[in-house]
Amino acid sequence: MLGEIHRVVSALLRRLGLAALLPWVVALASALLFAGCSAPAAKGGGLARVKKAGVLRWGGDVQGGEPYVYADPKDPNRLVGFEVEIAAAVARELGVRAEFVQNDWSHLVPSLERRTFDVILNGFEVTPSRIGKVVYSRPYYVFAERLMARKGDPSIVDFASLRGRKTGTLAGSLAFELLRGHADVVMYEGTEEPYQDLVTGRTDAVLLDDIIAARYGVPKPELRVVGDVRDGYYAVGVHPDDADLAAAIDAALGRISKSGELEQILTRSSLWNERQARLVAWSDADQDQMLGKPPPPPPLGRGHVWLFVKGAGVTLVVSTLAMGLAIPMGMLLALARLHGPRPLARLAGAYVEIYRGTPVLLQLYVLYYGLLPYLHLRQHLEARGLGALAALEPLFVACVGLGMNYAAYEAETYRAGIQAVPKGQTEAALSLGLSLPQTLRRVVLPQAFRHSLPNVTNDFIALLKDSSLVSVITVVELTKQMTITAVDVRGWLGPGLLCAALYFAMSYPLGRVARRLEAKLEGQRPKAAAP
Amino acid sequence: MITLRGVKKTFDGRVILRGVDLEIDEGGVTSLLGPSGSGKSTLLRCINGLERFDEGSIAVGDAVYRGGGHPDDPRAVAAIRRACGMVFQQFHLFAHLTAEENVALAPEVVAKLSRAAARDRARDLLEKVGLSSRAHALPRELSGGEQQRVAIARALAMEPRALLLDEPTSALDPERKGEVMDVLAALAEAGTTMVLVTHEPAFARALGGRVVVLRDGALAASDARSEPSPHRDPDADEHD
Repeated sequence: MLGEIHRVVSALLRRLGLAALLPWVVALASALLFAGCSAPAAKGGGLARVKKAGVLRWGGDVQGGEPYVYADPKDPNRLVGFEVEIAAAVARELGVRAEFVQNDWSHLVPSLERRTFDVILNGFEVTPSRIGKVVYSRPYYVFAERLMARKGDPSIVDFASLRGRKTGTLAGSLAFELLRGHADVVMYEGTEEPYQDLVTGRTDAVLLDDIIAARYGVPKPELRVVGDVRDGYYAVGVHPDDADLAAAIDAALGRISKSGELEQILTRSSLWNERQARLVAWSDADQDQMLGKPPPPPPLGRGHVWLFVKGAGVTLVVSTLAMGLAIPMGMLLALARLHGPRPLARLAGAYVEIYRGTPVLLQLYVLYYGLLPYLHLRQHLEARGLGALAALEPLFVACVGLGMNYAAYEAETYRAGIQAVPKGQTEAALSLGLSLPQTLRRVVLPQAFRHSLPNVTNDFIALLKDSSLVSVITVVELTKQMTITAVDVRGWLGPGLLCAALYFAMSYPLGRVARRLEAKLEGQRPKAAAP
Repeated sequence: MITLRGVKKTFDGRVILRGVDLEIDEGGVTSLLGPSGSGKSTLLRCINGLERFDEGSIAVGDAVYRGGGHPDDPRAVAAIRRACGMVFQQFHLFAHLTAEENVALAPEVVAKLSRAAARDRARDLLEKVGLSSRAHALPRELSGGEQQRVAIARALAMEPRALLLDEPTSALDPERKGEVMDVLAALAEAGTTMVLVTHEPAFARALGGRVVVLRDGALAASDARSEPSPHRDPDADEHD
């Protein structure tokens, strides 16, 4: 590229008779180019930057809770946890102070790439797909992948017995990478939900770090520990351009391991065990073995595209069914509000306000984790020999949850549409002897529908995109598929563009069809009814 | 056939009808003449049950309803609406239906005729008002005069005993009034019972029949044939 520029610029200068300026111009252009494109590539600037700022900014998510990073129960303004202590110790060794930066756990790596913080330090497992995207320090904790199942279910005995079984774990975790292609993986965003769903029978097993299992799984009397599948490591993740910072953190961790400070910190959180002894004498050979030889990232291929198309199918099915519920329900709500007896009108009004006034994410969450387990849907289905249907529960809740939310918006759309129909239309129909329901059905609603159609289309397109929220209740739709693939191929651009293209491919034709329909309703009616 | 007894109505503290007694016989035209704001449109709307009144009673045939807060007997309202077809100043054709569908709707939905029978009736009535060729046009493709003729056909489709007409030509251009006028004259000729609300004495005169003058919510004069002098109130607003 530089050669190209050199050629073009020198040809230009020669033509202008300014050849003498050539070296200067080239130097200037190169400097600008470097400044513009490759400034962060000044490898090894990280340590200097941290020292200059006097602060080591470390990223994590307090949602992970105890014992990692969490609000001190005695003083909620203060963060505590073994990682807070480790971050403080490492920063002290570097001669700076530590500062916590809150970040969604599943997006820690992209945030590190954007340099939202200097390092990741939050149950950040060493996984094959991350090696190469970040530089790992030596580990500060050795965890075990712990397998749990229900007490009444003897069929889960080891990792091999998970084949084809519904197994819960955290999205983006090492366990997820181990389980993929082996078990039927159900992905969660939080640490409590996988065990809750295991108790109610939505899943057959949960594979997660021993720390999480001990806090959230073991206390549940219905569950048992099957065993540990393999060891894994928590280490500090550093930007690949900050090799010197990584080396300094490595050295700092080495010092606090050897001095016994790490043991004290882990002991305070009841985390010290025989596995951790390896950390003290951690060698370069251990580090090489931990990192292994990461397989080269697979290119975005036909297999990925197929997964994306499947994800898009889920998005389309969820959106269509949800809209199929929202339209009639919204219609009923609008009619109840405008023409129902007063208590019913009030109730419909309250429904609309509550569903519009609270986040749809929260509604899905409450429905799936809060309400549904008490209905014992699974048991009822199994009692009727329909146990297979229970697997559709998340999809069902996704459609119902989104549908109930959008019904509130549809209700308002139709209400506006109904009110836009002139009063004279109603009076004319009543004067002919039509009852109010007949008037609504034959005269008002057909016209209201026409007024509402552009907004309904808009809502449907919005719903297509909002449907990505259902991944919180373990439905893998298009956006979730994109994040999974992005981790696989170690890049966001390709999967992101593919994902966007698929959304567009769904919403654009929808807009076209709606415009056609509007034109057809508005325009001359082609009449076949003539005698 | 239509009997009003002491019909009173106030709205927002304003007295609109102050005790109207009126007897309308079967056959022939009765014109309710009066300036804007005299209450004549309200009176017509009260007969059809589109507006409520406070005191008195309105009887159409055997069906009676009374003013006051209590809800109307739905059977009485249905019977009266069936007996009285209504034509509005602004036509109010159903905007999403063709001329033929506008006329056929009530026979199909209310009288429970088959779709084909309802359409047949609609076509006959459109022919009667001279609009056979426009049967498949939407209201917005019709001129004002055409729309009002469709509206008259629509009001006749339920075979009412009386036709209530609220300023049927006031929204039309002068050159379009004639075509509606011709239709109404033919109906009068055929002996259709009609109650016509208008502020134009010439219009009332043209159709013949009885003229009743309403002023400030009360009957000012009732004359079997002769022309009353219309007291156009220059201060009254012109919106009705």
